[in-house]
Amino acid sequence: MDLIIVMGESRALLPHHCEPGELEQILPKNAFVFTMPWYSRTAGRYYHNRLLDFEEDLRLQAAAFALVTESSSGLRPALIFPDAGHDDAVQRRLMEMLVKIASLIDQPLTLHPYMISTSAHTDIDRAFGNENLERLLQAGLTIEAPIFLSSETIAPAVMEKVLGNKWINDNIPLFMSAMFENGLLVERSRACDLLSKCCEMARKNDLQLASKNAENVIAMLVRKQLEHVVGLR
Amino acid sequence: MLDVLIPHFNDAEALDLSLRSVAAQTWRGKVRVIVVDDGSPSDELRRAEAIISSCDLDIELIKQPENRGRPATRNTLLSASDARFIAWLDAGDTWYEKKLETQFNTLYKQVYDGQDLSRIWVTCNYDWQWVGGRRRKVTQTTSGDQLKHLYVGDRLRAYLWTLLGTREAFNLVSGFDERLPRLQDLDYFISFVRGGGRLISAESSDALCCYFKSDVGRNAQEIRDCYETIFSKHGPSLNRFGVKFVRRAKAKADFVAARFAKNNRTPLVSLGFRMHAFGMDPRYTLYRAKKSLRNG
Repeated sequence: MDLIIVMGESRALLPHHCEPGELEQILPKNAFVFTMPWYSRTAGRYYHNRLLDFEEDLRLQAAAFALVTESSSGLRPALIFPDAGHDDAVQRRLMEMLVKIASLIDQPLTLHPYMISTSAHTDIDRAFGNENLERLLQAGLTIEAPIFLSSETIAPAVMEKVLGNKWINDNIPLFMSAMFENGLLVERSRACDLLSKCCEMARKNDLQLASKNAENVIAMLVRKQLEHVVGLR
Repeated sequence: MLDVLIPHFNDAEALDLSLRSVAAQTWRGKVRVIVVDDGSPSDELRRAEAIISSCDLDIELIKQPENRGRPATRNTLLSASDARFIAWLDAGDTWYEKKLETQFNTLYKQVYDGQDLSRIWVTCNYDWQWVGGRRRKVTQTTSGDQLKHLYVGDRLRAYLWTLLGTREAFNLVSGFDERLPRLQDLDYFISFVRGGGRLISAESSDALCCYFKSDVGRNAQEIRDCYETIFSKHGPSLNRFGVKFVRRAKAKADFVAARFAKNNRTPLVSLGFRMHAFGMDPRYTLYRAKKSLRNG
């Protein structure tokens, strides 16, 4: 089985703003983002990080079974672990999980690592560094040469989504605290929805939200929410 | 990885309709279709071959030189399959595009829950459409005593084309009973449940396939006889539900036969079955009569 492992900036890759179909545009033609609707509603949108805690129940057994079944026509499932590029603990768990998957399936496992980054910096060699690589090879896995995708190589429309996602994740804490200062409590998921709408509106108007001076946009958004709450809008 | 098993006899157009619905599935895995032609006349067989060769699906056609009937054809299909998973479809019926995807997700959930897939069939809700009539959704209920529900057929119905399962699960039963020209799927379902198998519902309240129903050309007495064979074959498991239940199951069988007789324009035969049902279970027969009057 050929398995694509996507790593990169966690702020850019989580499914707040990038749907599976959009991420698939970055990946090879025969790749698909593996979803797990049988597992839970949110995991259905590819929260693969949950697979890293595979000792808790049979989630990995079920995922391995589904991966083999879904890829039987030659398609390559993609699993996304944003933090694996820079977090040692996540890297270690990822390697353990891959070794476990290899033991659960009755066919050879070939990994295709991808690193997606909004900057030129990459840690892909670190993620699949000597020690980790050694471990995977010992477990009988084949590892293809890693592929690095940067803002230059990703289609602009998709990159826009990736950047939007990054902007949302960067600004959730700022938005939540600004709302709180104005007497409104907002949950993280709701904050994410509101910022997504703001992002979507900017895109419709051919604008891109910059990371610099984001507090001005946030302040405006908070004001709009307040006006809405007190019935001015 | 998945074999879709389709029996075909003398209706290439119906086969085409079914194949199109398989080709439109959103499920991503590898699909092979096995069609067994049950001795169709040469013209119709040639048309079926043309449809198969123009279809993008991976299809294996097995030709039986003579007409051996539905149960024997289904047994040929079962022996020809070597995939890990099996789904059934009858030529002329159709799947909606999410059927396989939804049912596979249900199977994955079973693995997550630690269930043994070699004893599970996933069924689904379906649309029932009389030829020329309107569609209505039929819900398959898998909770409660499945054997009891199969005997009376009002909450759980034995239709193969609703199913997805592993090959092991379909081989839990030793094939289709070739003594049954009709209702061999009911016998197959009952044998499965009696053998320790369990049906589960796909995790979707939507209908996932459509059954185009027609009673025309089907012999009502043959159907009633098949019911009797099944009741007597599975006697011990039927009788444990008590005399009242057995009489109700038999009266229901009479009503099914009466419907076939009526739709084949033999009203006297139909009346005969209804009278027999009255003798079996007068209360149920009166209930049916009242319901019939209420519905005009």
